[in-house]
Amino acid sequence: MIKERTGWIIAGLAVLLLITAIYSATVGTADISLREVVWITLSEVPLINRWVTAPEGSSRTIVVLIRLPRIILGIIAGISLSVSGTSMQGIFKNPMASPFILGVSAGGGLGAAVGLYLGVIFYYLPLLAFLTALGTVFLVFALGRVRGKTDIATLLLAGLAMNFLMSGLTSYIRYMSPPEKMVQMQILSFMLGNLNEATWDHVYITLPVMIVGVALVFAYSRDLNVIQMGEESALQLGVDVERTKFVQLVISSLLAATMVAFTGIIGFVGLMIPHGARLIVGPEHKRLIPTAALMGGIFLILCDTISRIMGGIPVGIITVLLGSPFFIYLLIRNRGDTGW
Amino acid sequence: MNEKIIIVAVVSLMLVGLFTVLPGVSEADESITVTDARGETITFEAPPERIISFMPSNSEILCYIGEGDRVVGVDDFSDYPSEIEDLPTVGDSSSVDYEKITELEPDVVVTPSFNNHTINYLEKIGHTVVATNSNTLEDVYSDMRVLGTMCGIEEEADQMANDLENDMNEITQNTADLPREDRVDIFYIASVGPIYTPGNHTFQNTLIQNAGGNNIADQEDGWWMISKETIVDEDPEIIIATEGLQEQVENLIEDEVWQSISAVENDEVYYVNDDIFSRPAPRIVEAQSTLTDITVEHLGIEENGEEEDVPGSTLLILLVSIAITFTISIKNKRYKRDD
Repeated sequence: MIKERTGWIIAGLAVLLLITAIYSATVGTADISLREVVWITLSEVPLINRWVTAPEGSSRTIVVLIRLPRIILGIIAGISLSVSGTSMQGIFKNPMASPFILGVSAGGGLGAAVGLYLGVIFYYLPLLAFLTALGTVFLVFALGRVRGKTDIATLLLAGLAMNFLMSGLTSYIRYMSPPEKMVQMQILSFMLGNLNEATWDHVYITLPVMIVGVALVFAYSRDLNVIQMGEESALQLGVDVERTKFVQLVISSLLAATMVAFTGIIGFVGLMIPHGARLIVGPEHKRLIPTAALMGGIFLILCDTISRIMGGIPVGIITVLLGSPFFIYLLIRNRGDTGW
Repeated sequence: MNEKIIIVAVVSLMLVGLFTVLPGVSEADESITVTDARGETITFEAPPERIISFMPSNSEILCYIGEGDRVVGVDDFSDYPSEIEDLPTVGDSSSVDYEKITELEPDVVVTPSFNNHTINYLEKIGHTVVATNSNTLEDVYSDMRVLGTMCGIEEEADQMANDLENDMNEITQNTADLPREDRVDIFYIASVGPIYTPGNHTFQNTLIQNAGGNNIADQEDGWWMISKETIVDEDPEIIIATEGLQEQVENLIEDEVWQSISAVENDEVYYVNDDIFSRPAPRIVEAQSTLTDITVEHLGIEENGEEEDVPGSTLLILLVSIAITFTISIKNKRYKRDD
């Protein structure tokens, strides 16, 4: 019964994602009609473009090179962050867990700040942010290993400590940056998350990471379910808890670090979307993960569309402003029953 | 001997041939090659007809060299001269409206080289970018030459840059080379709370130096946050702040500590136009002359000796007397008509 309903929910969300994406492609400074957007898009698809042609010109550039990569990167970021958050909350058995809990965002932020301060450009900047994000996570892991085991409480505290340290260093660099060359604005823009300046190259790099990452998290659905019942019963049921924890933390951090490197720190998606999904389909991970993924994609494109309508303010501001009231509403409606 | 002569003759003939052919080739197509601030070489088949200027100083330079009619879009802060006021705007450095830029179908986007992320993305989506330096005083002249070359008026722009440089030198001829001990200590306030001040290698620093001032903040490079202690310790004799900060600065210097500073004590706090004093554009001439007027008055330098004063006053007397005779004659005429 529930399984059947879940199938419909997931199919519905997939359709909604497509509709949101198409709608989003018609929004922007340039006035381009829905028909034009669809036509231009189809004319770029192999095979179909034998029959569909659209005129060259600025509209094509805007749709194909500006809007589409931006929307697709938004979907990839929304999916990656939501799935990463779902996995983190499952492993930590804690509703406050998010993709950034192990210091990914703070580490990536520091890397980006250093890069921007030094004037590093293009692919070196995401690379630097990615490396510092992962470096921070590994430090947290090293601190969280107690007697060969990953201790969740220690890990949380280590993550918290590294978050403070990295944010402190980032603030210092921001404070030291000369104001006349926009470095402070650029660091701020990174800290708030931004899909501006997305290119197809970003999509080509992040898409495989997302596919592999989400598939791996999904493959561990049963183990994640069992861990919810407590580590002892999980062990009795033959789940290698240590390995599951380690693999899940590494994958979630990789997903989050990749997204932070290319889009900056888009907050709240990875924290809130898993909760929303849990309220709809319950805590079972086989259903939860695809639901959260689709909801994340929809939510992020919606937020980015609003951010574009509002003159290009960082999407991270919208996710937080739009997400938190919704979160509070859910809390009030479901007090004492948050799907856990 | 003969052989040598033949070889020399052949070689020189070949060289002559080469040099006559080479310019011939480049003349055949009228392409324009510009080396911009990044060191990139950009080639245009013809001078770009549609330019987007993504920096107020670039807009001012383009209009100054008479190529303002090629500009089809500007950044949000470009507001001078009036010919660009009604042009479409395409955002600012912190949020660039790439769709608008693309929609305007520019032949080239002109932007400072420090907007490196914007430049990268613009090129990625197929736009041609020419980067300017837009930083120091010298950059005004070099940016003017680069943009002039781009617009196909290389020689004229070069001449205008030279003239501008001469004008600047003329303004500062009595002050630029003053010895250290004769200079007046100047503190330039660029922002309040925190107080940022332009240090070494900024164009405000050069303006101060040329005006016979000594920038009390030139121990550090670029804009930096100066402490109250340093300001008190350096005890500037003149404080320059932008008009936009007037209220805040007036508030600030009411403080007891500030009251002890010579410039505040002697009422030598001056407010200058924000745009003119912050844009590396041709209006540096106005900035330089405003600042030099302030320092010259403080230092009591007489411009080019005493004889300069005499023609000045004679001219004034002459003008006044002409005006008086003119009014009298008009009045007389009126009376006649009335008659």
